[in-house]
Amino acid sequence: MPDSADEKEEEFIEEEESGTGPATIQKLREKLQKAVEEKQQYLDSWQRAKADFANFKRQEALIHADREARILSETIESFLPALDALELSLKHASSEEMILIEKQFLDALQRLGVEKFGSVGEEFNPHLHEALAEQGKENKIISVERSGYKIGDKIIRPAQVII
Amino acid sequence: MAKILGIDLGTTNSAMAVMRGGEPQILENAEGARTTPSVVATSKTGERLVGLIARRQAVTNPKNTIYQIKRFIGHNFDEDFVQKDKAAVPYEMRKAANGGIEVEMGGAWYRPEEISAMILGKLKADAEKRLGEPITEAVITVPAYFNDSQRQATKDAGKIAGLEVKRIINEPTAAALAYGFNKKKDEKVVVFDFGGGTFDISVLEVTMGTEGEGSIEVRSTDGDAHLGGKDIDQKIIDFLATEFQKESGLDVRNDPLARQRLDEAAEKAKIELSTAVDTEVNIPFITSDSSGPRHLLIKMSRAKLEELSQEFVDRAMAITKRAMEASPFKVGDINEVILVGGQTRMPAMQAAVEKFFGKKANMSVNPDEVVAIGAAIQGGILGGEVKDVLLLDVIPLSLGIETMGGVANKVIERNTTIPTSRSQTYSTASDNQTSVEIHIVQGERAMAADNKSLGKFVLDGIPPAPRGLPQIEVSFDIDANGILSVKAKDKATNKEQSIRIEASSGLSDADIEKMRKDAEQNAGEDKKKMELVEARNLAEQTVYSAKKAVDDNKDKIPAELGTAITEKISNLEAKKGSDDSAGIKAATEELSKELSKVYEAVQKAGGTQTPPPNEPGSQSAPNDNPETK
Repeated sequence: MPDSADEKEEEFIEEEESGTGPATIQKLREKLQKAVEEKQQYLDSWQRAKADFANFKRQEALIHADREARILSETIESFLPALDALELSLKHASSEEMILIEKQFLDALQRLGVEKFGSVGEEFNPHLHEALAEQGKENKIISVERSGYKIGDKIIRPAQVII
Repeated sequence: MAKILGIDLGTTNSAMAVMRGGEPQILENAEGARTTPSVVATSKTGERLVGLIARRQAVTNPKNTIYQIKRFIGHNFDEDFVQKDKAAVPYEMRKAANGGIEVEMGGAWYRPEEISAMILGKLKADAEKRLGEPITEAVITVPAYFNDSQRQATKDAGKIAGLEVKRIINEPTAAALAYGFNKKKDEKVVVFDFGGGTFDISVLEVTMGTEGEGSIEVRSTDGDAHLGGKDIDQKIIDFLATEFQKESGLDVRNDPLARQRLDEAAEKAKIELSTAVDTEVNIPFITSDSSGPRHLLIKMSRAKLEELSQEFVDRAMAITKRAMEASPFKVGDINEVILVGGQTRMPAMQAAVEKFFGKKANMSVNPDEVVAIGAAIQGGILGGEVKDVLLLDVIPLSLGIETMGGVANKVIERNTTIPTSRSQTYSTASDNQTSVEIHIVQGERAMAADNKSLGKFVLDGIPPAPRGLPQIEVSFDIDANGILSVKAKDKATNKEQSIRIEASSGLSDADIEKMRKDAEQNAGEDKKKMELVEARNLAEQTVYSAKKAVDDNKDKIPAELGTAITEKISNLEAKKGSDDSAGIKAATEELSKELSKVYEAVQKAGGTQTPPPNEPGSQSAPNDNPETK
């Protein structure tokens, strides 16, 4: 395909194509045939390019659909170790101030739609829980070492448990 | 066109990528992660688990959780190293009828390729969900040292997973593809792959083929199947546990819960020390004793990490030396070095590689993803996506016009693919301005005078009107050959004028690079100039609006306010010619406040004057007014 001004095909070559004889007609027929083929090729390529673009846009929408949820999840996850430490601390030495701070933290999470999960007695489920050790005989949680958190169906962090 | 999935089927982790819009892109799995652990399990409830979910229950279900199966694929049971590695894994293994290997999971026996197929199956399903289309073909990577049997077994794994494996390519070759080294001539490339559990070094030679694409051959390969980032993590854990024991007298190594937290903290610290020179490992309530809860708080420096990891870096460099000696090349012959594997992010590792080869390594492509990216590119080449009959150019420098204050207002940004068209609407800078000069400039500088002038033309016959009212649409059109046509049209009269410029593509690469560098170097100064121009333009507009408001509403404005605003107008008029942009802004702000009071007073007096649409604060870009002549 000509792709620069130099190679651009002349539309009409006076010396060769201004006559009316059979040779000229043949030449023009060949030229027309080639032009029709090229036209079809370009049309096809153009249609494919348009289609590719439309498909690309559609896929971008799919791929980015949960991007916001993922970014929120990662941001929340980065704060969770501090909350874990606070909860552990409360287990050992509770105070009114610390309880209030914990409540602030949990309220903020709740407003974002975050749910805490993981409790003793639940059936172990690797979709929700990460097993640290096996101490019991049944497939049930006997202690929760670190709570799990999720937003809707998206797991921010699995609960770390002993079964 | 169906997409061919590029898959890096790793020992510890796997990744996948496809070509999208002509670019390779990593696809996230169903859990939203860019890599998937190469772990498969049958849970205690009989559920098949793959990836992160399988890893989560590994500790409590070791006999039915299969990991690092790649070590065994394509091997025979009786091989020495199989017997050795077998002892290190908790799951059962036996000799298959044909002398191969079978592993037990959930009461059934599977060949390694069937296990790998489960991993590939998950990647396939997740990719289909992400893209919303079926995936039936793939390119899968394998280590350069894989023999025919191992390669065939990997291909079989793909087939079992429902994938037609279009090609099996070497991991170092994929890495070279990711950097486009297949397009270079007679290059010698080293791929340094330090992953989670294995180290591989490969020396490649790229020879130019007939169609402009090189063929990549592996000239030597070496490695250590038991050397990886995990070894460094272990050293860090030992260090932390030892330090804690010194302080507290307690050994937390045997406490599974403490161990888990140490594991996570060690990896986190290692990652942080790639960018920070020190970090603090903080694990509250790591354990307890008779005196109560105990906390771990230990500082760790990058120097300490380097000391801990030195032996592993040294081992890798010794193997690298061996690989170079086994190749036909000398160290000085190597043109490019590529880093693969997350562990290569460690500065000490990068420094060691740089020192050995005497050149900086390539790591601009994410080292965890580079192999999958290369596999996707190979898939693109096979699928015909990358080879394009229609090659399009991009414009190397931005194109724009000069607007009020001498600013270069960009209409088409550099690196825009052509052919393309862009339009923007402008207006006049003065009342009753009947012509505008369109001055076309090329370059990245903020001020038009600092850019290259491409051409000028005038559009006249604009009906007299207050400034800011006429709508002049300026259109830029560049064809595939880089010929620029600029048209200016007055929307009210439809009168238009245009110019055709051929010189916009006439710059050499060196010229282009120089112009870009100039813009970078002068960015600070250009920013100040822009601020001054913007401040002056805003001042002009505010003075104009203020004068108009006063003139039109003499009878509605209280005397005091009238005096105050007149004073502020004079003040700003005096200031706006200066170079003090902060001073101009302040004076504009003061006048603006007085002007608001005027509008309030007018409204109270029952007037209908409201702030005009181009009042300061209510404008939106682009609203620059072409320079008047």
